[in-house]
Amino acid sequence: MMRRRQVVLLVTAVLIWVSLAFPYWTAAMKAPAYPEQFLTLQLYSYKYDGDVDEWNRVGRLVGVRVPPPLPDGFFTFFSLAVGLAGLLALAAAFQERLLLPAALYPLLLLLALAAWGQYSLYEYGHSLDPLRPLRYLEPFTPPLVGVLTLGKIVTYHVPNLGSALFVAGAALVNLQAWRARHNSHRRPVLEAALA
Amino acid sequence: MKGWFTPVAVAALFLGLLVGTLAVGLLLPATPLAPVSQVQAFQKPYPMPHQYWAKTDEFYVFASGGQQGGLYVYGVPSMKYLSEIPVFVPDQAWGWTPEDPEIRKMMTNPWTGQLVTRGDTHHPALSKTKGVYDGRWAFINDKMQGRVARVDLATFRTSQIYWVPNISGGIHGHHIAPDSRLIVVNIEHEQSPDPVIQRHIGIQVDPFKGPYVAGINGIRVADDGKMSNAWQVWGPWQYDMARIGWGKSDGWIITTSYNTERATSAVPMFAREQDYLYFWNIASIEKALADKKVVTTAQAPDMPVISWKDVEVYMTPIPLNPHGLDISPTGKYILTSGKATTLIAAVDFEKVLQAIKDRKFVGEEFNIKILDQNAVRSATMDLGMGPTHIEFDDQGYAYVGFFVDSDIKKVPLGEPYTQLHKREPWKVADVLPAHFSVGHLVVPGGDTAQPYGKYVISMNKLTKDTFLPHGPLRTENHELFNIRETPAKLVDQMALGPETHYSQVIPVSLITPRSQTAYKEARALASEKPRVEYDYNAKEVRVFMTVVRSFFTPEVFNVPQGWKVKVRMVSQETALDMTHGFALDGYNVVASLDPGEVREVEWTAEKPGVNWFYCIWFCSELHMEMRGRMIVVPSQEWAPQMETKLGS
Repeated sequence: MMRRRQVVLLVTAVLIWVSLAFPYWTAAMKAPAYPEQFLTLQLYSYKYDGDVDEWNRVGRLVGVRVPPPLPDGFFTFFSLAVGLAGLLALAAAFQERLLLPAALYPLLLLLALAAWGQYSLYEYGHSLDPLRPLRYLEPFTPPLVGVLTLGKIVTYHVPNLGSALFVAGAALVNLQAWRARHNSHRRPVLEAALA
Repeated sequence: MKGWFTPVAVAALFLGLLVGTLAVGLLLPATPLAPVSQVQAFQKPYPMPHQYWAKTDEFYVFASGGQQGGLYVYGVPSMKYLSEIPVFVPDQAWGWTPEDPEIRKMMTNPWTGQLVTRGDTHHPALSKTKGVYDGRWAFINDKMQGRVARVDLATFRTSQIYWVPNISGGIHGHHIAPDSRLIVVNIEHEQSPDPVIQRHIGIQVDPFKGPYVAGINGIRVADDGKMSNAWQVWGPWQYDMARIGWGKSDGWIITTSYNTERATSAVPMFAREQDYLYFWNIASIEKALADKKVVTTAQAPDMPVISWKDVEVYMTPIPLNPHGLDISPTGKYILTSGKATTLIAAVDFEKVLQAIKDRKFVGEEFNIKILDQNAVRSATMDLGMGPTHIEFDDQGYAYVGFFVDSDIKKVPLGEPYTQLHKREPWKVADVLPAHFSVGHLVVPGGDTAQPYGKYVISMNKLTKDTFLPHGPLRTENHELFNIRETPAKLVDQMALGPETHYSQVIPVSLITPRSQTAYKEARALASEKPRVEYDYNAKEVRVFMTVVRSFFTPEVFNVPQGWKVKVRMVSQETALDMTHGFALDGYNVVASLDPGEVREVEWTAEKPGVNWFYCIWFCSELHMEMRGRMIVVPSQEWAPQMETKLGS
């Protein structure tokens, strides 16, 4: 019979893999000329999607372009890296010694992605087209999570469902690692507090 | 040290780093635009709630443009002007120019090859299913040239122009069957038709003196709305208004004639005491077709021409020079107004059928049996001077417009409507003053089996001093009345250009769900690259151009003088309301491209030199810069290396 931890880790693996089907991050632009809609960009682990052309038609004035240039094989790395997190969680269900790597790896990956994301946004706002009409506009850094306001054009940057699923998976596997460690140290007080 | 390295500590560390990373983005300042940031303190999102009028309007009005040649569109009750759908007359602003070969083909007389850019729209007929509007198409007739056009109500664009054969023009009545399978247009202006027709109907016409002949023209409408010849019935008289019956009058075409005198000048046209109302049995027309009692002319080999003697038709006298001819919602009452009198006749179609059965004829003229008017009329109302048209509401009332009296009179109908209004029928129940001289009037759904009621719009022929002076030629006045209140309340007036005849009014729920925001044509050409092709045999330059904010690609092309230039433009836009245009300096060339649309324009490069073309819609902040060049090289100086190659 499977132990509870094994079940949780299997669920974790599924959560992480399912996250591949959803966007990890979304940018939504509201401009006066689009009263009927947000222009959105969605970053999946394997593609960019959304109103790319329309975004660029608005962005031309400011001199920005989407998607930003990405290193070769970026999406392959991204998808495989996420897939590996799920694989580690699955392996940890049957190999307890893999629990710690399975817990640390998604956190590392998350950190790496966040750092990369923020760096890309820095690049996005600092590699403005030199022939942009608004040449007096200084380079800027949009936040990875937050709001960018350029005149009456407001852009909201938020993590999306893919990130939420991945973070939930990372949290679950960490919780399992934490509980496993406590069980091995036999600290009944904390155990009781958790129960 | 080993004890410190717990997953909790690691998680805390990385969470800290993550938060730090996010904070970096938030803390690094995005450069504000100084002038705009000052404005922001005062900025409210919109002066009115977004889509206010789009949400409050209940109906679309499709109003014929008359001598404007198209179809006006506005919203009710806001009376907000929305569009002028160009139909028979070119309109560069609304993207309807014969420089486009497809449009040119529609506007070209199929028999003479002449480009016809003049027209006079009269009676819109919205497509129907089971006797009520369905929101698919608006058909509209051109009195002057004898044409009927179909406007697609998903795009509000003309998609077909049908030419009535065998006539020189001059059609009037125009009505669509309750199932939209048949359209009838009446030949109002008498003709001296092809001798084949004269022989078939047995009337020899003197082309100089008359009397002339005319008839009714049936048009079949296919499932996709395509119109084609059905039949023509020719006879001794002209016909003015037309209705295809429904309900109690299903299976019959009903028409009037104001010139039963067969006169050729105005005064003799009202010489008689009364004129006629005609009842044509549609089955008998189909039977004459099946029995091949037809001829065809060289001009229209696919249009069967039938003699009125070979179909079942009856008539009954009605007040002199009838104008309005309208059928009550159940199809029972046929109201006609004698424009040259003060009288409105209410003919009961059930009585008509009974009178035909009982053979209550009082004579005949031109082989047509005349039904005893006393046997078929429910009432003859003396209501005022210059009665014009009649509409019906959902409460059992008729509304009659009066040109001379300048008002609309509300009249309760007879049985079975008395159960609805509980009044003495055929007596005036309200008078709605109009400014001035009512031509047509319209109630939403007022010519259908189920009127929506609620409003009457009076489309007045004269405005006099109602609006600010604007020269001797004055605008027209559409007046909106709320008829849910008694007395009816004037809600609003709208100045609208010359000169609406009939309108039809349809609920927004039948139009907006199908309304397109872009065309899909461009998708099929998405993989084609912009290019310029030179055909030395045809002396033709073909440019395949893409158009998107704020660029034409190619933005320059060279042409030898005297060559034909054909430009096919593909709009790559998908955004709502993002239309581009193409206007060429010094040439008679304008095109308009809606999002996703493909358009073609043609011209001949006559003058050597640089000609800029530019976008005529203010499409973006770089609209003025959206332009390109056609460079015309004198033909003797042209060399093949001057050909425009893209990317070079």
